[in-house]
Order: sequence, then C-alpha cells, then structure tokens
Amino acid sequence: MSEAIAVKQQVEEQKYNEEWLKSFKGFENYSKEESKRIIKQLEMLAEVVCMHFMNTS
Amino acid sequence: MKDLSVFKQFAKPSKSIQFKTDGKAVIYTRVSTKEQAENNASLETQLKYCKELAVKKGIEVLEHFGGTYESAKSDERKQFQKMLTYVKRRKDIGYIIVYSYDRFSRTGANGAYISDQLKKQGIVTISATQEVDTSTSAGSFQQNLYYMFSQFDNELRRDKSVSGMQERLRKGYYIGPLPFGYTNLNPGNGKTPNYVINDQGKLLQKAFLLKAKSNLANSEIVKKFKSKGLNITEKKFSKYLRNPFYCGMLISTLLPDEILKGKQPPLVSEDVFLKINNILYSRPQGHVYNSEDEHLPLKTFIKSFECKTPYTGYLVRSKNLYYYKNRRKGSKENRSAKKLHQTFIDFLNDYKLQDEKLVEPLKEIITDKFIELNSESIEDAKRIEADIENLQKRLERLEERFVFEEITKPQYDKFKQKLELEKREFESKKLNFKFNSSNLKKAVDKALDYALNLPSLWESGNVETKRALQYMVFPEGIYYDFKNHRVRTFRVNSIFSAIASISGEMSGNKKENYHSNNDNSLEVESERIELSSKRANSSLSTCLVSI
Repeated sequence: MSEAIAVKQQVEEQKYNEEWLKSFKGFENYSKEESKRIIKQLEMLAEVVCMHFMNTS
Repeated sequence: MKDLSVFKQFAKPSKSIQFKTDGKAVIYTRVSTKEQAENNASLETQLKYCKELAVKKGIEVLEHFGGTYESAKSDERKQFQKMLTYVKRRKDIGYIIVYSYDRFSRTGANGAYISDQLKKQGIVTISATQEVDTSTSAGSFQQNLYYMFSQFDNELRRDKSVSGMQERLRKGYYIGPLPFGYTNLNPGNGKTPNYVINDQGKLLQKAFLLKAKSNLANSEIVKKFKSKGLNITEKKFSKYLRNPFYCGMLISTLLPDEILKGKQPPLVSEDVFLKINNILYSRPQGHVYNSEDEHLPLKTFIKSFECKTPYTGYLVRSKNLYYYKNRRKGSKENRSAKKLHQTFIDFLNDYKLQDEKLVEPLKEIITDKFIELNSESIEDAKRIEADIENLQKRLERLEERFVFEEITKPQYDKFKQKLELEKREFESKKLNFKFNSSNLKKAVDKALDYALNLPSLWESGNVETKRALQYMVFPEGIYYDFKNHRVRTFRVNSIFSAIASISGEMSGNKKENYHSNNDNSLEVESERIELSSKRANSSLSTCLVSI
C-alpha cells in the first residue's frame, strides 16, 4: 500500500542542531559531529524521563 | 414364443433418474440488493408466478424460501442453503420452483452442478418463466445453458460496473462507504459528491497531528481522544494512520498499483502523513513484556563475564522468588533477582550526567517534549483560561450595568448567579488538566530530577523504562563476574560518567586515558571499585565494581 510513499521522504525536526547546542554555555567549541551525538543522547534521556513521568503521574 | 415374464425377476433395474412426479414443492425467490428487497415488487411478482405454476401443474407447495436479498454470485447464500438442506432432508419434495433460472444461481457451472445433484435425488428445478423439460437431454442442456448465460450476464454487468467505478475513481470520487471522519453532503446516484470532514474527523485530525508530533503510542492517543469524544479503537486508529485517503489520496483494489488524487479535503498534509508512516514503518515492533520480564528487567542485559552468555531468569514458585541464571550449559551461576537488582542500583548510583552544562539543553528538550506530548491538554487549558477570563469580564460588565441602573437587582442577581456557576465549572475543569502552563514547570523539574537521579528512575520505572534506561546508559549491557561478585561494563553512554568517587581524578587526564588514574582509584577504593582498561574514545569507559 503506502509503504512506497512512506519511505520516499523523511520529515525531520530541525530544532536541535549544532547552532542550538552552541547557544548553551560550554558548547561553543563543539564540532558538528559531537553536537549531533550529544543531542541524540539527550533526546533519548528526555524521552525516557518524560515517558516515565507520564506513566507515573 | 415363450412368455418371458417369468424372467422379469432377472432384469436389470433402471438406472435412469426417478423423478418424484407426485412430490411436493418449495418456492425460492430472491433479489440482489437491499433496495430491491425493500421495494418488494419483484419479490411479490416472483412469488406470484411461482405459485401460479404450482397450481397449473397441480403441485402442493410446502415452503417458501428466500424472500429477501442475496447475491447469486455465490451459492453460499443463507436462504438458498437453508432451502437445499430442507429439500435434501425431506423425502417428499420433488420440485424447486423459481421465477427464472438466474434466481436459482448465477454461478454458471456450479449452479448446473447443484441442479444436477438435486436431480439425482429426484428433485427438479423448474422455472415459472423458462419452461424446459429437464427429463430429456435437450431439456437438461437448455437448463444448463440458462445457468451459463446467467453467469455470463453477471460477468458482463460486473465488467460494466467495474469500468464505471474505475472511471469514478479516476475522477477523484471514492467508491463505497466513506472512510471514518468524512460525510458526503450530496449523496445519491448520479450526483456529484461533496465530501466534508465531520466533527469526528476534526478530532481524528488532531490525533493524527499528535501522532506526527509526539510519536505517542496509539493506545495513548486513542485514550486521550476518547475523553474528547473520538470513538475509535486502537486497531481502527492504526488502520486510519496507514490510509492515504486521509492525506487526499485514493487507492483501490479496482485500480491496483495506482494512487490518485481524491476530491476529499485532506485531513492532514502529505508531509504529516508521510512522517507518521515513516515512524510506523521504521519503528521495530514494540516488545511486549510479560509479568516475568517485570520481575527480571536485567534479563539478557546482564551477561556472564566468564563466557559472555546472557543471563536469563526463572521463578522459584515455592518461594515466589525470582532468580537470574546464566544460560551456559552446566552453569551454576544463579543469583537472586533482588540481590542483583540492588547491585545494579548501587552500580547505577555511581553514574550521573557527565557535566553540569548538559543540564540546560536537557531541560529545554524535556520542556519541548512535554509540550509536544501534552499539546492537546495545554491548548485545552489555554482555551479554558480564556473562557474564565471572558466570564470574569462579563461579570464585571454586569456589575457595571447594575451600578449604573441599566438593569434591575433581580436581573443582576439572576445573571450573576448564572455566570458565576459557569465560571466555577470552568475552574474545576482547569484543575483537571495536568499540564497547564503553571504546572508544566513542575513537571519539567520532576523529570529533570529523574534524569539526574538514575537509580531512582530505574527503581520507580516499569520494565520498559528500566530497560530503556539500562541500554541507554550501558549500550552494550553489563558483565557479571560471578566468582568475584563483580559487575563490569565496557561502554558507557558519553553523556554519563562515573561520579567523583570513581572518576574524580579522571577529568585531570587530558588524553582521557583512564588507565593510570584507575590505578590510583584502586588504591583509594580497592574494596569496591576497580577501573581498568584504556578508554578508546570519549564514549568508552570500563568499570569493575565489587559486590
């Protein structure tokens, strides 16, 4: 069915990027790769704690 | 010539079909569609003709079957099967009377086969309008031709109808009952449909958007929207999310491999639909945890240091206690789940966010995540706040009008009471919202606390949270040195690090080589912690913790 359409394009959130991370103190000199990795991990942690909060509150 | 009658007893019995010419009859009538059945004219006419034939032939009619709509495209018809069972059971039935042979069957060869089987039992199918003598070969052939022609006619009609439907689809009009959430304001044959999104559709639209934004579980979204009046099951919601009709497309089995633009207003944009489907197709099927998993969250995550095989678990039913066990054949590595969990909690206690500077960006991500997850509630809360403000203004205006004697005291009292009651209702509704703007901050702080206190998060979380946390902090799991009662991990997520008691001196090493520092830490914490191995990159560290 729509599988072919679904993989045609990936729509991604763009807010959290290198520039965004650099706006915080201490991240000014982080490379693009480092920023990407840290953002990904922070997002994972946020996901876990938010879902936990939602499940328990 | 001798009289041969004496040999009659030796004659072969007749193999020809013995028709029950003195038998009784049943009548079978049918129409194809509900509309025809409701109109009833055709059914009445069929019955009338069948009865007339029975009278003409002097056959007693015992029962009437059908009298409703059932398509003869298949012979698995309820009334038809009921009739066949009836005539096969009764021994005195000799005839099935139908208005025409296409009433009996339109399946061609299959219809002829059924008729033939009945004939072998002495039951003849006769038509009130197509009289044939089925006792002769020519008559049987003619009857079969009627069946074949009925099927041919059916297929011709089908072809015509399919072409019409394909044409309609190509024009962008949906065939069949409209999908959930849509209404046709101009229904009827030959009319140009006017599809609109109804109230349920508007709620479904919000559910789609929430799915795209938050990737919440379908069950959560269905639950959330049920309270708002969206009556769909999780299964249905999952089906809708995959139906491109909702982003303005048309797909149909009548036009295989084709995707067309429909005339319906899209519920969501193509981008949103694609985003949802990317989520749905890219996400592996969620693991369903059973009650054993709840008690053994470290199962497969913890591995034997000796042989690297994962630990599994079991329940000692007599004591109702869970144990972890190494999978290796002949292994005697068994450890009480309670003890191993405590060990893991202690181990986790030694880890925290690597750097204070991570807190601020994490806080912002958590805030955004909460807003995404609760956007519906937040919007509702905002709406209610606006309603309360509006009611307050109306109350003030009422008072003003009373002061300036524009309204009487009874009028003032009456409306004041009404408005205050409304305001109270809104205020109590507002209290039910978990995430209005004021307590969002509290929620974020609480979530942040969890992020900064991993043992507490692990302890209070369900099995899903526990496992997500475990693998996030220690992506490759942990190794358990059973002999020496120690836990070891080779890889720690780079945003976490061992707390000062373990790694205080690590930070001083610019090359991030923990090896030498570990030696020092060993001297300090030799009873409890041993750090070893060179850290290959910033995301790698090795700890050996005694238990």
